[in-house]
Amino acid sequence: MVDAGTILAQLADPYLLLVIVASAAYGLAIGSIPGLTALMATALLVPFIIFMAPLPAIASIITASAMAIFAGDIPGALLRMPGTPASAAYTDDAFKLTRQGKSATALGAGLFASAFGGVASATILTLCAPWLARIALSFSSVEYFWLGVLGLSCATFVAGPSLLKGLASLLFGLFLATMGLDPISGMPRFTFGSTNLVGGLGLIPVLIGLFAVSELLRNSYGQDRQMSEKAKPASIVKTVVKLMWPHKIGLLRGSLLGTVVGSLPGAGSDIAAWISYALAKKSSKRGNSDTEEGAVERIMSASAANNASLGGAYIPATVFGIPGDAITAIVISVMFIKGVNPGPTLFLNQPQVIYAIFAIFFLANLLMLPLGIACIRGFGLILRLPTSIISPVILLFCILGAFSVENTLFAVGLVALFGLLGYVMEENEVPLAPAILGLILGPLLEQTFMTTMLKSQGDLLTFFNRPIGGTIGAVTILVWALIIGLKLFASRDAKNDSSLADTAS
Amino acid sequence: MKAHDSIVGLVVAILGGAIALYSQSLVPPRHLNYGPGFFPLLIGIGLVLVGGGLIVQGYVTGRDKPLFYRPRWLENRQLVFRFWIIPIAILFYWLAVTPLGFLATATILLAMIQIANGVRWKLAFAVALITALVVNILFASILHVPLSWGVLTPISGLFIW
Amino acid sequence: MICSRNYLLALTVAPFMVSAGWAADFPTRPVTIIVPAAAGGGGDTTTRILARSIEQEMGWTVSIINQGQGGGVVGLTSMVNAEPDGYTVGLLFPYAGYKYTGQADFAGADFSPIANFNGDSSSLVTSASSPFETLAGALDAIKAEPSKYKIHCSGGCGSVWDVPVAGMMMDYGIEVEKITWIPGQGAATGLQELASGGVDFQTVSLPEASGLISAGLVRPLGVLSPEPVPGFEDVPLAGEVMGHPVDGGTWRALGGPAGVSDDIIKAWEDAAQKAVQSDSFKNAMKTANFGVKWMPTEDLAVLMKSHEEDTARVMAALGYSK
Repeated sequence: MVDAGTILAQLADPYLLLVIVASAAYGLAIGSIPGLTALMATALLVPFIIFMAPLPAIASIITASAMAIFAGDIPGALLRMPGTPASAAYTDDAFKLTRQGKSATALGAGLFASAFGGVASATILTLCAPWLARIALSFSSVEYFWLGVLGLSCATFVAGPSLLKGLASLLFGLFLATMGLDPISGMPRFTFGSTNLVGGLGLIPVLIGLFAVSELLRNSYGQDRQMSEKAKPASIVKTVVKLMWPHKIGLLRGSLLGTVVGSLPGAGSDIAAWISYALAKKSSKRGNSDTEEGAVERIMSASAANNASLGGAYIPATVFGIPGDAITAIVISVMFIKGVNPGPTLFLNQPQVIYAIFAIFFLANLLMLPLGIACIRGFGLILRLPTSIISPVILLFCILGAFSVENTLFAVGLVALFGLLGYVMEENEVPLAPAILGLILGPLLEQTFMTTMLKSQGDLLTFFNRPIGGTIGAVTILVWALIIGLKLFASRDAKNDSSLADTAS
Repeated sequence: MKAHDSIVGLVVAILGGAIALYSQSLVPPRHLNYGPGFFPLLIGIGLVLVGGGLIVQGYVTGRDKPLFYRPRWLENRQLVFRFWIIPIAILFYWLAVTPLGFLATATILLAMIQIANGVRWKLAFAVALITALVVNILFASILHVPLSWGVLTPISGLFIW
Repeated sequence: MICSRNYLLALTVAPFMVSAGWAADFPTRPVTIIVPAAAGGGGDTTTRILARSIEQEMGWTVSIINQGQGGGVVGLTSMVNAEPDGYTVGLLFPYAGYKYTGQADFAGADFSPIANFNGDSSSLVTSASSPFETLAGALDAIKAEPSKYKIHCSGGCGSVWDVPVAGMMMDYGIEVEKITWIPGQGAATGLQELASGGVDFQTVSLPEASGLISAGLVRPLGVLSPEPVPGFEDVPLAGEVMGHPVDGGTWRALGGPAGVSDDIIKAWEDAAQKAVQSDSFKNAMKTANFGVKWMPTEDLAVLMKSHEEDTARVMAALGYSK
């Protein structure tokens, strides 16, 4: 450890602070616009920061991505359009609270949990990054496969009333993920000779289409439907501060889980949020209930997890130079350009740089509270403009978001297609969230399954041969058995109830 | 448009069948135990099973429900227009942005939907132009997103900062 | 460095030159470089460094478009289909492998080569717990029992890192088709597999593995470069085992769609050369651990030809046929 004085002295640089504040405002603005995501916020920063001094450059990415991941909750809660894939897990919960006039609770819970998750992961990062990185490195394709299967079980929690329709949506998402190049042989699949399809369906255009555009379509004919509550919003700080303590377990669980999942290369903030959401729902009575309290518990757990995973992703990135997600891939290349080569030698030779980076995590996540509240207020004000003017602007941002992530006009076409599809699915009570989950997890599942089979030459037993992998595998199978058992049990109960109701009426 | 659960199931099952069939045409180029068609085959079979389940469930629980349900708003032509203007606007953007450039395309797109929503056309065009201008400056000039300049291409050097 | 032109090509194109305009007039508006890779990563980083130096040296405005979908197929396709007016060029890198996996069919004739500016050598690495200490020891063991070993390709198999290593192994007398080649989604997935004991070897560039090498978790056995790689002087050269210099890995060049007029190519070549020779470019590449490898248009065309031939030979041996 280096002494705290040198680090604070580095942070006291006014230029650095200016960069942090500017990146924070930028991250919040991008993240809170439906259609514009955290990854896009980071990618658009590249031309600006790539030639800055190392510390401001990395500080800018850390701050902007943390703010954007949180800000993705805002359109999710107020408009039912998740700003990032990571907030798709709890969009419905948050929007339900907003419909009840409790947007301050929904967004405040997200904001404080995000900041908490960020600070918690920064603490873990500072205290035990090298140690955690070694654990992450013991994961081979077997362990990743089981993690993916465990992640799939989340689908049943967001399936809505009909399990079958939820599964149909999940499988549809998995199918969409197979379009493009097969990860093993590189063969094109379902591309019908189109070069655009060889690239597969980007997650972001599909997400924007399914959630944001379908919501615009639904709003287009309901004149009476307001886009948000008009009532004066309650004080966020007052509402949420008293909610923090009762939900401490959920917050801690989410933060810890987020950091660990984030530290696994290839499993990003979206997977962390989904798994944390599922755990909150499964492992506590409070998290499973349909009340406001239950929703807050789930929002807090998942929100803490997606921000914590951002910090977690820096563990393998700084210790071994292995990117945890697309955002840290950009961070690593910026670090290389600056000659700050990530790796264990960085901890030995330039500890002041690495701990300054970790310190920026604390700073950024604390800054999130005041700026986040201002952003929520500002967003609320914009929504008071007439819907007839706001909704076309949202549509423009949806198009722009899809285009700037993929840089192809084909992505714009996908937005229209999946907008209509999402509308039809919702009308027929087929939930959208499982499809997004399938699209996120599909590539991970298929790659790891195929890689494992290549390595073992087709021996399925290999999935249980490794100590960690076998354990996760057993747990996963148990969870699935439990889910199916419970669902069968519950549906029998429901049938009994409905038959009782029938006889009663 | 809402369809009967059995019809939803039928669509799901047909999709699954098509995926499973297509997966058979994916032959691994080398000696692989599980080829590129393996996952699509599993997914296809899964969709067929789920679709079949939905058909049965729909038949058991909803025999008295109509096959298709037409929501009331479909009878109001103005509302139908407001609905379809959204996908049409996206398609318009797709086709027009390269030749016309972002500024003109975005202005027309924004104004088009606002007018469809009942905003007066003068106000609609003013709002559209200002929004498109701000977005264009923000994204193309400052953030360097490669938006098309269309008719402005020859002088686009002046606008990239 | 003096660049000679391909006079035959120049003569055939000469009649069209008047209408295409002279190099002195180029460019009159911003130019675009398509990078067939996502933001971050080697291709994107090196191109951005080059683009900045071109802006500084020539006063051009360069915008960069990232199209990384489909392992680069989408970006290369937009490059091939771009208007051949020289205002849209792209990053060109080993492209011949796509043909054998059925993804796309790019040939040298689809591009107008401009100049090569960067290259990274492929290397064979193993985990620290592996019994193999030397390249010769590893190659002998693989030769004796090729079906026993698993090698990670870093990217998709049949591409930049594994093809040169497989070529070297063929020269060593190894039956490469019996080895299990494991494809992945970039160097990180491979390093993860290597460190967790999932594979025996990996083909990768040294800078990408440097973090794990300095952590003592990964051991480089040999690098396919004719001279020591800066920053990795301790890594033995593959040539020492093979008895002749071995050179293989990725190359990164600028190229346009087919049919760009010769004087515009020349304008680009001059711009790239000025940029590559500038101190800012050299320093930026050095800090970021990227090797500078300058090759004028003519040499690049030769390199592309030999790249296509090498890939054909190795892919046939690996059991891909087309």
